[in-house]
Amino acid sequence: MTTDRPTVLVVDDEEAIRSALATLLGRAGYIVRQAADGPSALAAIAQAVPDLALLDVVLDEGDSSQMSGLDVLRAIRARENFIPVIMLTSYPEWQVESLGHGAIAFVTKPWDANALLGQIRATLNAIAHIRRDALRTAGGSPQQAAVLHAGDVMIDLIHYRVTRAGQEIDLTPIEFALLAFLARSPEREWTREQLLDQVWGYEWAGYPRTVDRHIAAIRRKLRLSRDELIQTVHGMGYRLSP
Amino acid sequence: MTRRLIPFRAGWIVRLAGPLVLILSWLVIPLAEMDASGRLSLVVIRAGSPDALGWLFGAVGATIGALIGLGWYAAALRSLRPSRRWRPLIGMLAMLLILGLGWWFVPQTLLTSAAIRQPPVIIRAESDGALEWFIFSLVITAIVIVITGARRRRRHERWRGQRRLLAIMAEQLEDGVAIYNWRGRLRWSNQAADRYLKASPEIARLVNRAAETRRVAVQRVTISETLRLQVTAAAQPDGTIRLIARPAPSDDAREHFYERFMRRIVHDMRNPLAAIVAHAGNLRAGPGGDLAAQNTAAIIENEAGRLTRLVDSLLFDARLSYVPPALEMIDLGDLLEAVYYQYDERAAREGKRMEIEKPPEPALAEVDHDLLVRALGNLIDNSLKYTPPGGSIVLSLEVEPGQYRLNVTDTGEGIPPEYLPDRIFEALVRARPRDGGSGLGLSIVRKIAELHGGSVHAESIQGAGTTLTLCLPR
Repeated sequence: MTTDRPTVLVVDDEEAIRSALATLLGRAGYIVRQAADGPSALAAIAQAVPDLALLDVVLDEGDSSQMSGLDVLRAIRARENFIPVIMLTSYPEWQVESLGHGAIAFVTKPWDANALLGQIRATLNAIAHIRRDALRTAGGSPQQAAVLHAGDVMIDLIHYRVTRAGQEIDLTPIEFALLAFLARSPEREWTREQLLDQVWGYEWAGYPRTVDRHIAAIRRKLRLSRDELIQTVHGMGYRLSP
Repeated sequence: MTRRLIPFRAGWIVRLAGPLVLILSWLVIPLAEMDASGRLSLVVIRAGSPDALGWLFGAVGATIGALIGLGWYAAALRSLRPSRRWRPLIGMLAMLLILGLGWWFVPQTLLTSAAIRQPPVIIRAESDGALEWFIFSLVITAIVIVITGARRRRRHERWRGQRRLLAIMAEQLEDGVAIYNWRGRLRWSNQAADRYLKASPEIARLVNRAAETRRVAVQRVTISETLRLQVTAAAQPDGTIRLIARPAPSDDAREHFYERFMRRIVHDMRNPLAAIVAHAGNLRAGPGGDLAAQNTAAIIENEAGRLTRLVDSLLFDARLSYVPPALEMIDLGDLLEAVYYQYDERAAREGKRMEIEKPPEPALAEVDHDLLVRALGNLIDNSLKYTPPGGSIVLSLEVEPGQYRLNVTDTGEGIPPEYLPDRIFEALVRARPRDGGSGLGLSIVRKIAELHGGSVHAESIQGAGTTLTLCLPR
């Protein structure tokens, strides 16, 4: 689904939120589809797979018989094809315990329009990059290409899951793509600009610190000590050596 | 409550001393003497002989051996593992065996070997009455055992009664209590601990972490929806690990209710606010070009944003008094870095320089990650607000004996002296009443610091800059 205009599915029970997102994303050049609840979201996905889904964590809080955002996420993840999901949450200190649903990102309401657009763009690029990468190497043995190993870290390129020593780690799609990219060519040094170019894939507004932030997040989530697995090459960038 | 009542090395000395004394008493006894004709003769004084020295050695050896055996027995009884009780008994039996062997065989061997090596030696050996003397010293040993043993037994009975009482109490506890040795192997546990350990592998991992780091590891562990545990694994100076798993049902019920309440309120308040902010933003950035309308939209956007922050602060402030901190061992340097990356882009956008200074070695502390991120974020927010473009903000971590200092230093306009050193951290106190702040940000920082047993301070020079410091115990 790499047409010129990617499709984004917006799932939120409040019309005011959906329409605001629809206007924002429509202006940014995305095809926007909307769903007000879980079942209609899944129906929309069954009809045509979107490139990305923006999903409210709490879909209709009052009625517990309804599907919550997490139920919808589970259903989406049960599908064969990976759809990147950005969860919209109302509460910034939301304690999100390990979901074990593959790569996922969170955005709090109210969102910063530019940051949200930037994240959607970067996520789509990161996912596209991984798909290209997986396709390119799948010619030989698809099974082997689908899983990357870096030390005790295992990266599943089909289900977008990362485990360290058997324990599942929740990365965002961008963090996932960055880690997978580094793991693809171990021992090779990459500059921040190269990484931005390769993983984020478009002209970033001159802010190489973005890479550092994501590396720091990966290290924190994988509980890596300093210079374990991912090394900082001083004055240059990063290198992964298992 | 510790396993080793006799220090390790001393224990072995005590245990070996008994048999050694016994054996030595037999090796030393053979005495050589010259007779009138100048020929060497070997006098072997056996325990059975009426020779005073032999008797002394035998009796002393037997007594010491018995006492040591008893000491060993008592010490082992006092240790916490009931299954090890046969050990001292075996020790006692071994001691008696050595005693017996000593009385009977050692002199015989000496006699023969001496006779073979030195044929001209006249051997004068007393062999009569050996059995009687052996029995006699056994009786002495028995008397000693009875006398000392009775006292020890009384003490031990009393102690065992207390211990039984303690064991019953321990089994009744809702708290899981367990003791591990220095290798992290389970030595003793109550039923609750067994149950919790079975239910969650995380607890065992926590113990391993405490064993590896030789520190205190604390973690919240969820057993079921209604049961969450505050688990503390503490490495003791004697090498053992003490595990306490304390359920927090009342807190959790409250927390659970509060979380639900929160979700409701937050969802109901933030969603409309988000819609207002988003629509106003669309209006402001939209095509059309009506400047006045776009200005209005920008004002709506800003004010709704402000309202959101205020709602946030109020709810967060309330949350602090409801939900206990979830402590975990983390590197404060990493935490500072995470906060830095949350704000560096905004600082760059606003034309302010942001730097981070931290020591190369990890600064481990037991803190609630999210709360500290919030506290530091509020400090940085404050600094960004009062620092003009072109200024700088430095985050630094200092390691001092007994405490960590997390500093946020800016080159802003400073805080008026009447708000120093800590009035600025009181709730609803604002140095500039009309700046749009809620007056809650810094008071939240103080609350978070106090929840961690720390404190906050402000140092400021008007017109030159401010340093806000969050101190945490080390």
